[in-house]
Amino acid sequence: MQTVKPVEQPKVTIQQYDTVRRLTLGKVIIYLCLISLAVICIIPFYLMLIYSTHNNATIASTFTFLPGPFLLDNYTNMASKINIWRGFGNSFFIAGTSTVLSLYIGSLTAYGFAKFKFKGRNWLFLFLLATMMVPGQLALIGMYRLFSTLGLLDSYAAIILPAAANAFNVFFIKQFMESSIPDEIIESARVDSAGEFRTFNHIVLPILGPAISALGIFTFIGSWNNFLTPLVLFFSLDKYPLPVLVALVQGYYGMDYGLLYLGVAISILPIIIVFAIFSKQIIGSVALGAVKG
Amino acid sequence: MFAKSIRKDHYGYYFIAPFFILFAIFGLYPILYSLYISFTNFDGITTPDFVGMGNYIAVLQDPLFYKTLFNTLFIWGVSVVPQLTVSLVLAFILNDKLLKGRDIFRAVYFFPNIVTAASLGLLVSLIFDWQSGGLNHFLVQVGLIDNPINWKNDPWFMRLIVSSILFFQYFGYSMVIYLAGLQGIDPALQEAAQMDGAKKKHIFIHIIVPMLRPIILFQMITSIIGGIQIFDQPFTLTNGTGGPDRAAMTSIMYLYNVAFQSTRFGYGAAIAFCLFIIIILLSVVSFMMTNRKSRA
Amino acid sequence: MKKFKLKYISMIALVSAVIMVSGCQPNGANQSKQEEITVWSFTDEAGYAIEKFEEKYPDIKVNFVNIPGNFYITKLKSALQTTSKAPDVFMIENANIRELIDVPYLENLSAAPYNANELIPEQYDFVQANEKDSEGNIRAIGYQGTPGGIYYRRDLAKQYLGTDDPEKVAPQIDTWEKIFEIGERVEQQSGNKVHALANWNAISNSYDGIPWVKDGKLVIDPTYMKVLDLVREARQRHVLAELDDGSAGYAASMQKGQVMFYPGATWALQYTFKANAPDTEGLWGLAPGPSAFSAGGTYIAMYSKSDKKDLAWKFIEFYNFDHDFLSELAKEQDYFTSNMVVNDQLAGSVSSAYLGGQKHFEFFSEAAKQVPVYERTKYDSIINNDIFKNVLQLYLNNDILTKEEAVKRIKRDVKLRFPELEVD
Repeated sequence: MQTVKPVEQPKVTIQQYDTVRRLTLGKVIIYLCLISLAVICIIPFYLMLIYSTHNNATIASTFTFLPGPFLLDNYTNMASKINIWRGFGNSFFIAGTSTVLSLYIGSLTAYGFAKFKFKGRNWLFLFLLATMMVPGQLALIGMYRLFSTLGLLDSYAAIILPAAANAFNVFFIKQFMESSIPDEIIESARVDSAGEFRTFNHIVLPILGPAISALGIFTFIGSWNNFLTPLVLFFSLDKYPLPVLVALVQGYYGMDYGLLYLGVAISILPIIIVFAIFSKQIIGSVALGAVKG
Repeated sequence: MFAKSIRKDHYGYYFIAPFFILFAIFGLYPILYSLYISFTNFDGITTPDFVGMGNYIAVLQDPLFYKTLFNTLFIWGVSVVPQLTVSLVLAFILNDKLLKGRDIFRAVYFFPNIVTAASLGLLVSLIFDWQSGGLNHFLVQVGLIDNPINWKNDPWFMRLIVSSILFFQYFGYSMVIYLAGLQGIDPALQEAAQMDGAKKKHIFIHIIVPMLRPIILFQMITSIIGGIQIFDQPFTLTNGTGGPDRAAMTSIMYLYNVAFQSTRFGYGAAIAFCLFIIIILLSVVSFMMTNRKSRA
Repeated sequence: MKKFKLKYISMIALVSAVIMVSGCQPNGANQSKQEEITVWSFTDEAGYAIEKFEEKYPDIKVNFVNIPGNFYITKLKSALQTTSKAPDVFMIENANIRELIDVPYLENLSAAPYNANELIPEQYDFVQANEKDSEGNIRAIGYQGTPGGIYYRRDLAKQYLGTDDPEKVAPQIDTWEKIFEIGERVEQQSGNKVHALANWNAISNSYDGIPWVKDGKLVIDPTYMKVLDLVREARQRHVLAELDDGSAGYAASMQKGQVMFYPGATWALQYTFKANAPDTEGLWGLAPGPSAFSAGGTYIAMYSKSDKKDLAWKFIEFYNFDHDFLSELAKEQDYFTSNMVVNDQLAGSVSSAYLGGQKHFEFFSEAAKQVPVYERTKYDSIINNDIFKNVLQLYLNNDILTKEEAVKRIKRDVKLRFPELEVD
């Protein structure tokens, strides 16, 4: 490549100059679309944060874009009814553990399906896909009975362990592997007589970076926002994750919108942090030099 | 070489074992229990009586099952086509290192996915309220209309609103998945093509998209699975009623009504498994469609 | 190979550790002489009663579990059926009471040593009807009194009726025709800004509770057909403000005085009006409307497999029949209970500043005695709220044109939803 470049240079620069000129109008249009879409995305988000600073009566009767004075009132109201930070901690623990476990086991399983041609592989994978296709709401009753028999009701394990077997994650990582991990990498590792497990941990996992980061975010968010399963399987107040606690604050007779949106605002914060950490991985460049070199 | 790779294939079992063990214990029982219930008239608390295929026959004759299925497919269809195509284009655009501010765009487009579906449904319900919703307020003040419009009374409009909410909430999510996929494609390939004088559009259609085929298939199948199970957004948007003449009631909302409100868990389970079969059929169709493209 | 197996084993160990750690619960701190009962509810309302109960019975500790949201009944049913973590005492709301009343997991309170049938005559008749199962045995006891009335805006009444005195307002709104006339007048004079009723629910809610099923057969009461006529007429004569219940506009109308009459039950004072329009104190009054009705209600039941039945009964008896507590509850929390004896005693002394100083306990005591007594079944709630109201809206929007069509539609939907019912 290096020897070729000097000869190519003049041609390349002329081309670039042309493309820069040509794309200016197109680029403006693209930027306009991107920005308007971004604004539309922010509006509801912004509205929810604004509403958390108003009280219920105001939200019900007027429509406003400006913040109100009730943030502290809403907060103290909520804090007096539930232990917000305990719920926060619970959510974090549950979401974090579920995510880590499901990502690791998901990768293991996906690797098994993608790179090993064992007997029954296709049927087992189709079975895995099929399990995702059963509507999940009715499973609640079965889960209650199961955990009641196992004696695991009102324990963190009841939420975390089933979450570790996440078919969705397996599916995505497998597709990602098929799309971007050529067999040569693994073959070359085998030639070096590395153990299978070692190959997985040291060579395959790092390449899975973008996929795992994307999935990590989704799994974390999904687990964080999960409301039904903890509601049905937990009984102690000090185990409830944040969304359930926030629902507790709503009276039975009516909805307090100010508190509702404050709950939303509090819940969003950690998700944004997790997102900020993981999203760099997705855009970060992946060095695939290992194959060509 | 060949001998070595074949010998190692049985390791596949070890790798997939943890998943299937966990699933066998925690995932299989609830599904089998629901299947068992679907053949009974269980109401959640008294001992169930066996009714055989009775529930399934009833489902196939239930006009509300078909209506909610239509609603679900319509709402899903209208939202998924833009969702998957727009997000792919966006991912491609935002993958370009030269684009300014792409980090911000990437983050902002994902925001709608962070809030719970339920709170988004509530917010939209608030905005579209007949007498005091923000939208009517705005339109009247600007002078476009004289009297507030009763948006929520029109069945088709309600369906479109739900589709829009779904698109809004998931296009960023699809985009992130495509981005991850794009990151897996060797950038050298793209550079080589550009050096050969290929336009961006050409690269996109003829190089990137085929390489992303496994990811596209993934998106289609998971969006079918998710689409049939839409619940939170229409539920909170219509306050559980399903909108005017149940125009926005989805299949799972109907299941919720039947199983948890009318307490006909047996019937609800039968609905669930009928939906299961529909999802399988749709997935098979989309799989065949995506495969056919590659052969051509 | 060795490393491979090691990592494998360590993963299994990690997973089992998670199970064990979460499974081990630290033992209850006080293994003292205190006995404990578990009470479940779908609101946190019982907190006050529990406090007072524990004061009176310091040896009994109440473990209160509040389960919010729509899945209370599912969780309750699962718990009662599997016995694990099941409560000793649990609340049931009015919409579910008839469905659960025949379930064997509810202890029979008519039997000894409870003998509840000697106690419940203290309660209003319409509450008593809900407490008995199909054999006439008492299975749950309701502590909440929920008769309804018309909450009206005093300022609007003065303006359009010439008076805000409840005694003088009542005869002006005792039939729907009179209310509709007022509605027409008000809508014209205010330039479409003020209306008599918020929405069609105001009319249909005044007839809630009339049974749909008798002896396993669907029976369509002619009153419901009358309701269909009334709502259509109300819309045509511009009596309705078209604000959905619980919507933002509905709440705003209370704050701004855009609607004159809101039918509501006892609890609406606290949870609807004060919650939505806290700054309108003194602007409201109560008067009886065209129909006496009741809305909502909370009932307590005991788990038949509980091993603490004597303590559970103490709690149920306390919440429903302890006169000292009930008086305190009424005065301190402004809570109207189902106990006729206590309410009659308090009628003369309890008033509400929010209602312009009106003696609302007196009003509701009278209203409660007028509420018709119905024998409801487990189907009524769904048929009324899901099927009938859906058909009503279609009729109102002229998607269904005639009453015959409406009846056909109701019959079709009931047959689909409840195949075991006889529908002709």
